[in-house]
Amino acid sequence: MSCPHAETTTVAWCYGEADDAHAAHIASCEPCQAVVADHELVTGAVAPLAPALVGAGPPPVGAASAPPRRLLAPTAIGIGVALAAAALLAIGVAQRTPSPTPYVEPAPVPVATAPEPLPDDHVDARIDALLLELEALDADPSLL
Amino acid sequence: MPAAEPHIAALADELLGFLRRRAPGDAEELAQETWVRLTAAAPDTDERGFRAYAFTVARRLLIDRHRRAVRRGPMVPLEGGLAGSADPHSDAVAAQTLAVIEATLQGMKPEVAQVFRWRTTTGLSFKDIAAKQGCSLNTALGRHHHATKVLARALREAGLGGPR
Repeated sequence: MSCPHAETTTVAWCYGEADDAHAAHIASCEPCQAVVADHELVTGAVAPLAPALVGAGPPPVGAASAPPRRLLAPTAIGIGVALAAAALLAIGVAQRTPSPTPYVEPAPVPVATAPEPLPDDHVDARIDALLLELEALDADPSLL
Repeated sequence: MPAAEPHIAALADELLGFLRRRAPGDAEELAQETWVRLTAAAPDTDERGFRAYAFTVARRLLIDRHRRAVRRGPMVPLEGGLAGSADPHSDAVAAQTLAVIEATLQGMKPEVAQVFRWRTTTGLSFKDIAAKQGCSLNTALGRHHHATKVLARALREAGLGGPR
């Protein structure tokens, strides 16, 4: 036996979201009375535990069903490249800037030969590659 | 004499006992509110129908009371398990109840469990929940009912069906 109100109006009535007069229907409808009994049982069991239910469980449905986010927007890539470049520059400057240590008589300066290579030359190539990728993404965001 | 009074007199003790088993501290107040509502509604029914009406209203008042208890504040901390109480039996029952509820919710479709969690732990109306989930009001109501029905069965099967 079923009732068309059992899963809709009667549920709303249990929580004060339907007309109070619906009580008259419930009182004469066994399926709806069973619904009210179930909701009374469960709300009574859950009420003292409700805070523990807030953070538990799977991630919100909206998050699960939302379309996958782009890994990085073009502007974010640009910012990332700029920050990486700034960091590398800072490292390079730090490596070339003597730390404030006590003065020591300098050793004889060797004859200059080839310039000392940067410690992370390959990073420049990587930055160049990222800049090219950024340009490509700016030109066609659908690549993301 | 209003037509409801003989019915009320016949049911008073039974209803009060029903409420005391569920809400010991508030039973008298809830019984009084039940009779006030029945007197106002003055249902035109026989004794059996009046009894069903009375217990329907009483259960609704109990649901309201449970919801108010949730809004009043946490009785269980979010982390660290259940709050200790002076009654180890109550703690054990609460822990078992929580385990049954969580396990049952985990077995549900995410959108169904989500409606239940939102309705139980927040002040969101079913209309708000429907809007948030992008579904119809009836779908939100149906999801909440499905979750509640499954949870009620799980609690009863675990011997946690509450007082009769």
